[in-house]
Amino acid sequence: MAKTATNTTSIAPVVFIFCFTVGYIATGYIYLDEESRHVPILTGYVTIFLLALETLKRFMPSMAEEPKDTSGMEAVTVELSREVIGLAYVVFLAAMIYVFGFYAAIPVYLFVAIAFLGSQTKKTAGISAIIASIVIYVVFELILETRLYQGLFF
Amino acid sequence: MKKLVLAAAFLFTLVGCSDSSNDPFPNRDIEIIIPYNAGGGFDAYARSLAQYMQKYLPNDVNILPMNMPGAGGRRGASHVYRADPDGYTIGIFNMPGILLPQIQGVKINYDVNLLTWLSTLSVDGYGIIVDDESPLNSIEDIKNMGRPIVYGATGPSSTSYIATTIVSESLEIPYEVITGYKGSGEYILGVIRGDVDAAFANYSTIQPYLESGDIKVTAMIGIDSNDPNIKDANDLGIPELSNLKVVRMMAGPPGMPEDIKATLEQAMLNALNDADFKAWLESTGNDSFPVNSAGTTASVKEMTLFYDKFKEFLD
Amino acid sequence: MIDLLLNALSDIASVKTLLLLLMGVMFGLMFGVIPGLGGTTALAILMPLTFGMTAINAFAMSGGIMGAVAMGGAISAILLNTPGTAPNAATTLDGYPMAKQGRAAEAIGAAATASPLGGLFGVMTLLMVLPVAKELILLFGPPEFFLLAVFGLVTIALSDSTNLLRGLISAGVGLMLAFVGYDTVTGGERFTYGSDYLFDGIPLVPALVGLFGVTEMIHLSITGGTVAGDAGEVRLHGVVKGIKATLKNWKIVIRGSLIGTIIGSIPGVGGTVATFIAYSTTKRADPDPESFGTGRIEGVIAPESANNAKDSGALLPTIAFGIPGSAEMAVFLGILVLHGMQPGPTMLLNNEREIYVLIIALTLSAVFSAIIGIALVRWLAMITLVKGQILAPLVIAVSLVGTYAIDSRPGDVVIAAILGMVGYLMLRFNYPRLPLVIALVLGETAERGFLQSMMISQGNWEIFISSITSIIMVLLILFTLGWSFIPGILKSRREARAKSK
Repeated sequence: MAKTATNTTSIAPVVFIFCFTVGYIATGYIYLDEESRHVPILTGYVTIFLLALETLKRFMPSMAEEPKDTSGMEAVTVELSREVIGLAYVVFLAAMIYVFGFYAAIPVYLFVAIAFLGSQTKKTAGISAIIASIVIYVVFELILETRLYQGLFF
Repeated sequence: MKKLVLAAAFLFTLVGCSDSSNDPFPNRDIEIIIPYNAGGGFDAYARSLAQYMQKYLPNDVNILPMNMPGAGGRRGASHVYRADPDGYTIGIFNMPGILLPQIQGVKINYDVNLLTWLSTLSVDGYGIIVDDESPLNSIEDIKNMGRPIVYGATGPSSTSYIATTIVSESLEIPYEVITGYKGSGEYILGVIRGDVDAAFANYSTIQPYLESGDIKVTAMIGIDSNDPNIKDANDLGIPELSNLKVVRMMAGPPGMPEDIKATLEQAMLNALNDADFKAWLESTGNDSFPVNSAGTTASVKEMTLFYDKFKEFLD
Repeated sequence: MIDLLLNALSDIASVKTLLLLLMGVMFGLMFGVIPGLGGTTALAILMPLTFGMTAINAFAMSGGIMGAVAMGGAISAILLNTPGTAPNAATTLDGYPMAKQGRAAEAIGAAATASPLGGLFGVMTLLMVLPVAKELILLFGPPEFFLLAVFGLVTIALSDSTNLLRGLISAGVGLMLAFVGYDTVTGGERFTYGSDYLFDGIPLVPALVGLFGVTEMIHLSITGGTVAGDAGEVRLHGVVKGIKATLKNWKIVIRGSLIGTIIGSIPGVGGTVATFIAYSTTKRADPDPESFGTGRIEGVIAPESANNAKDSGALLPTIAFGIPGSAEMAVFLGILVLHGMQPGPTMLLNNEREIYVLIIALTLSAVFSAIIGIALVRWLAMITLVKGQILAPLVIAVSLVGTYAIDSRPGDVVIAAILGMVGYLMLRFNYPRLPLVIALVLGETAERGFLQSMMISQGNWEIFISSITSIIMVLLILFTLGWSFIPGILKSRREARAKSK
């Protein structure tokens, strides 16, 4: 299986985590009780310190070693757009489940994901979607008696 | 092809929607909401009760327990509060557990006094426990400690913490509470270990620990003491605090019709008097304390007024 | 004790009881395989069924479920990199790479052998320790819990020697997430923004399913191919090789089992941490630790041995004190009460017979589920040949449904989805996910332990070295820290010296 190339050197994650942590600390000061905010805020500060160290590492001659990949597989660079789309499909599924419930979301998602993201034939996608949905229904609703979420409208 | 899929999706959605009928109550299974996780004493009690209660309902319907843990019981309470008052959704609650947030002014989606109270199931009081080898044998010993007594409790809105605070303040005992224990088992352990001096625990829960000789009871609140060596609220001069009890009650959404209410209430009371159920209760250290709907509703009102008086202690 | 065990065996030997045990095994396997569902949900759903049963039958079925869940979870962990249950997450680290190399059968064989063996040693340890169970439990209070949590965090955060700093950052993020929710120590709502859902914090199982399962499936859906990609063929006959490997590595099995039992017995820390620590310890003790994560079979044997042993461990506080050693034990306590028993220190006195039935059932269940796993291995391994484009959306869909089935909260689905995406980003930018998960598990225990200790000692830090247990824990932490950093420092000194020559 092709492996996407891991990007060790981008500054993006550090920035992202930094923003998250700053937001976290800010929320701590604004919303939290005095007593309960100590430990979380401290953790935030320590994380920022670690992020600083991580950033400093770039300027040191001994660069971070990348974990050796001895599985013998070639790393393939996948286009950023495809990655974004892949992630978007998950957002799509979660949103559909939340709004319309599992019964609507699952078959639609499966069909769309298999046919379009997965580039399979519509027939394969349709059959897989229907069979999978039926199996899920039987296993969860009938055997396990879990009432599957029906979305915001039902 | 797309149309086929959309049609299938639509069909699935329809299948998912339930439909109700207009036959006499009850004509389908009733859901009983348990506002806590599966497992544990309360859950087992509720499930056992459901088993017996369904025997006394007409038309062979089942009572299906559904766990709805979250927000310390508030999620389950909100769910029952907002359900249709058609008798098919009821819940078992620990009082004053779900009452306390209402008194503390927490933003909640229910009003305890508007729920339709069906009956009382059981009543329990507190034992103030100490380690078996502790020198504290009575409240006097606690007062003479020379330092504030250290209690263990779960969270600051838990019934154990509230009881601890109200009693200690009323008796003017200097105290501190170590909060954050995950459950009563954990703080009982804390008492035995010596991390804390004492704790308030449900009287039924502590029986096995008394039996094994790990702890002993200094005083009882909310239960009348038959042992002259162990004082209760009356002996201690705070008789109004004998209202500090943990009560299990059953309720439905506000505005349930009288006949449906009566059916459920009767089934409940019959179950509580069932011989087999009583045997089970005994072997697990629980009790049954049947009170009908009217009595229960009055109790809830009383409880609300009672805890309202102590509002300042509840933060 | 032997006579108690023999009695229990004869109790189980009735047809009806055995059938219920087997039914438990089948359910356990099924619940284990489906990500999100696990032993806790299985026991909760099947609890009503136990109503009419005798206590012995109920315990036999419960034991059947608990012992089989680990095997089921191992299967999804190996084939799909989606841990079927939280403790199986450690199995994904080397199990899935093995599957990618077409060695899924071997991995399943190894897991299937490690499980019952690990479970057996766990049970033996439990039985040996039972007489002093109470004293052992009493050794642990807030300071010890804090130190334990720190030990767990340190072990895992520093387990990836090439990525120490990022491991710590991940752990930091995990801790921050762990603090979301209502804090029972201080009584404050933290980072909930008024949401009732977040009041209960970020739930572990959905987070895990997202970070390990959904992430890998997103990866698979983007890159295409099959799980067993370029490996050419899937070696369906690797099972025997896997079985032999576990038997050969019996030392790893014992070590894993011991760790599983000990750490599994600590309430709030439990199974997930136990399997990771078993994995980390085995990796550290190995002559070639860097190769872990690329398909080392020892990386499957260690956590799976721990995984079954943890149930024995979790039984310890449960039956000695009525304090559930794990979430499954909490549900099990309910089943106990349902059958007229009272949890607490009297259980060992009053209900010995039923407890031994449970212990035997656990052991037998591990054996049966292993046999079933091995029997199905050819079909299971074929899953790795299914096109990723079809498999990935299917697994994502089932995972999200399974996640919802735990507590019926749509928020859980959202968490799984969000963390699936976060996990993908972590994968892409080479930030280890393990430390985040462990921090999520241990954060609450660590903070609670710390704050309570400070309350008890009234601010005196000496409380953390005031008991033998706590001193041992501090030494363990220092030892682990030393082991992580010192070889690196020595190595760079050696390199510097070599360069200057």
